[in-house]
Amino acid sequence: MGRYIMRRLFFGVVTIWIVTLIVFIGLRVLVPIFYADVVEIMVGEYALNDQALQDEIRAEYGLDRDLHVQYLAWLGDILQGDLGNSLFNGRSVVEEMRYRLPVSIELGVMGLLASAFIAVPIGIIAALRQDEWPDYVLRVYAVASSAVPSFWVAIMVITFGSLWFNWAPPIDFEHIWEDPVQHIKIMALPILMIALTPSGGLTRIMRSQMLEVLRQDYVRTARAKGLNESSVVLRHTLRNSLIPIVTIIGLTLPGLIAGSVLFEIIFVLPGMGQYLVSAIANLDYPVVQSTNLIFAVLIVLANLMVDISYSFIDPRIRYS
Amino acid sequence: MSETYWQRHRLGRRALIRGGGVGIAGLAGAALIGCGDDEEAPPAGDGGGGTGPASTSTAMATTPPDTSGILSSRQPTADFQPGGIYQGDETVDPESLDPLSATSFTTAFVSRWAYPQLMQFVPGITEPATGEVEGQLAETHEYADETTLILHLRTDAKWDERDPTNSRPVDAEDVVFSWQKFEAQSNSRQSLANAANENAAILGMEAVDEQTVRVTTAYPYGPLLASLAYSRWLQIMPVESDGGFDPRADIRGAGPWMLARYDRSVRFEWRKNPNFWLKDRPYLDGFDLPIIGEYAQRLAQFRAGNIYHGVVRQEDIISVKEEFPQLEVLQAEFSRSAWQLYFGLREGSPFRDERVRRAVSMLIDRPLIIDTFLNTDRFEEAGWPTSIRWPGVGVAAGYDAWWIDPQGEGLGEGAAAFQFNPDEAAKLIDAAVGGGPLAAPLHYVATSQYGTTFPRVGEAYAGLFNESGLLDLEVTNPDYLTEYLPNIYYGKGDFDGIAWGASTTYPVPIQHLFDYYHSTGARQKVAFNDDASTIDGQAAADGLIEQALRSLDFEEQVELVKQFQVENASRMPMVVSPYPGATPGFSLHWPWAENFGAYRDYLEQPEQTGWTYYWINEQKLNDLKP
Repeated sequence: MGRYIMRRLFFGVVTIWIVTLIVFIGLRVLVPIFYADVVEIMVGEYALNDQALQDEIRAEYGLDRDLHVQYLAWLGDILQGDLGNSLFNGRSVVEEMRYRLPVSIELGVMGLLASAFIAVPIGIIAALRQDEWPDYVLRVYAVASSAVPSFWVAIMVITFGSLWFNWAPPIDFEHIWEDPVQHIKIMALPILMIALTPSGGLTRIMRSQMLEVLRQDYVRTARAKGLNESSVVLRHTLRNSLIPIVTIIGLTLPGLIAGSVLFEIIFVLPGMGQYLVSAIANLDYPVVQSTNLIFAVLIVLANLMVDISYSFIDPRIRYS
Repeated sequence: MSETYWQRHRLGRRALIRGGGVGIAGLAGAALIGCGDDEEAPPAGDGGGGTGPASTSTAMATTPPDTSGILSSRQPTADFQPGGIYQGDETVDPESLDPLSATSFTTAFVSRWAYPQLMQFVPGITEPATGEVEGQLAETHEYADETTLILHLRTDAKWDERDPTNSRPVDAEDVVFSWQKFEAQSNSRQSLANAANENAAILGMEAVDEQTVRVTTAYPYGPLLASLAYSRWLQIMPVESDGGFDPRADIRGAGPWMLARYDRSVRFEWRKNPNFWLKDRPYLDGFDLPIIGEYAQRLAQFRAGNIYHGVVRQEDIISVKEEFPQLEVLQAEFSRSAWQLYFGLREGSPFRDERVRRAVSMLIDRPLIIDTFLNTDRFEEAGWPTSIRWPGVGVAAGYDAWWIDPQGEGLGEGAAAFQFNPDEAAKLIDAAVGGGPLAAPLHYVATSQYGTTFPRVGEAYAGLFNESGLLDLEVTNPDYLTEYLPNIYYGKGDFDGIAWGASTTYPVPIQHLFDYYHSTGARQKVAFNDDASTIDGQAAADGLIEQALRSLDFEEQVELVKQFQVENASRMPMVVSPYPGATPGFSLHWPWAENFGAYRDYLEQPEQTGWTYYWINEQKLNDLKP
């Protein structure tokens, strides 16, 4: 196992290096060729014809150096733990992540846990009552929640909550270490909304996995031995149905952490999504490069964790 | 009198061009270049009495008289209860808090809570602000000669009490530092700084002594004081912002408010600045401004009484008011933005001929466009006071003193060019180029830079023109940054066809005329590669604009701008669109927000004037909050 993890980590580092190269070339070579560079965005419409100002900005931020020099300088800074500063506001990417990443991780992790909390029991019930009315109802829920975007549901909840009850969700965000009660009040609804879409897909997978496992010989054997139904379901069926669920959760998590931008805007939350989207729109090189690097690391680690978790869920799986 | 073809087909054509037209609110999110007074929450009123002598009056603004009984009286209260935290909102979190190096005006909108300016626009009390200018940091001023302005700074202005400014008095070095930073770094520097643009007026600012600043201009510059009052341009920052603190992330101002808390993407908290020179103001202890980007969330917070003013879109105003009758209604002023159709002027372009440009103007059914995109009929049906104005030749209808009504008699024979008249347009095109249809591209940006309604208006123009049979326009939607701005907007006529574009708001309309209508203007669209001989009459137009720009006499400036409109109505160097701003929008606020709308701002900069008079009526808050 140890050697397996080391080998995976080595290839993970190679993967991450390739990601840095792709992002850098894409952002610094291809985007300027086909679109624009950051300085043109920085000066905006009002100074697009002010070449002197653009030259000054390029010199100030070292953007007039050769690209390979800029790339190596960036890699060197990363190795020293410096992810750079925004070209637009000078704020350190590390500091910004310290501020925003906890919110995004909480949204992503809690949202996925909530979705699993919804999907697993629903999937079990739907499988145990296959082709009966509870199955039909729960399948409608699964399809509907997959089909309807969660952010739209969130807007509808706010709109009709306001129209019918003159209610508005709390928006005075506080970090959990500043005011835990206020924090929970604010985070509960967005977490629930984020959970909706993945819960639909997870429900369907859970149901189909349960159905498959329920037909296995060892389940029939367990029932023949006289085990009660709850033991059959929870000990012998559920555990073996969880592998695809864990895979999906593991692979969905980085996307949710980076991609909760609409929920951050709707619920006034300081997450990574807004930060990243704004940086991409501005072509804020240090921010885009470094956040992509962080997400690449998260994805590599999530994959590794998923693979390792298989061996705990299914003892037949061994790594060497 | 029998109906014309167009009157008979009005509803059908309206439905045709309406498409997804959504009214004024479609401007939500409009890029700052053109949003001016037309952002989704119309300017509702603010203001505040400044100090120092009134000096230069730049415009007279009026709103339509209200006989409906729906509008708030705007009367200032005789009494007030000091203290309390007002609940407002922001829609955008700026990238940076440094107004002199930021790339977006959203920064200026935030930083002007705290950073003062040399001058300010005198707020209107009950009535709209006129554009008159008075001292803010510069308590008094005088002209040493036509190109030298002496500013005497107030002695009671102090910077923020916190480190590193530590209540230090504001002095002339701060002003010089701010000017030099503006001149070197601001993306608006070409509007004022001669070092960045040889046509711009200000040569420099220097400290005469601790409290005196000398401003020198390259030529006598009429709009100088108004320019110093315009918060999008020169805000005054302390010299400590150069190394003492990071102005991109924090603010140390001298105005009525200080930034007490800033949680990025979440909220601003502004608190009363104990160092502010007017000791009886602000009345409030502060403002809380959550940053709410989503309209449904803003509306829910407003309906619940958690936000006190200004978030309701035009299409929701009537229904929200009906649901909460206790809400107060304000009507904004007419817009000071003028968006226009402009022309490619390459050699051989048919649009070099003024008859063709006039014909294009005559193919625009202005009432139809206004009805369709500004939804005036809905307000009329509900009994709300509506009024419509058409923008003039390069002068938006909100500049009352300067504007000549194209529907009145002031433009003389030139007014005919504003009337929808396809028959006359056909004759003009026939005379100029031997008949239509004239094939040409119509360029406009279809992405979100100018809001969601902007491209729909472009579609409507394409439909109107092509339906006439006189033009055969093929729509192109160029990329904003890489195609539209460099090749068309800044193209100086070096493109084919017609372009539909937005323009920015200026403190004084002469500046708009110079930038857009003068053959050497930074954004000119009237002279192929700055060649004043491209279209007939341009040299004379240039002369009038220069004369107005250099006049220090307000009455003379106004007369020259009016003369420009009269002389250029028939020439129609650009065709100004009736959208946006042909009708003033409405806003709602809760009645416990006292003095809201009583003190009225000019050019949307109320933070240091009108908002210092706000106070919260706790009795009304307890009784009337839903």
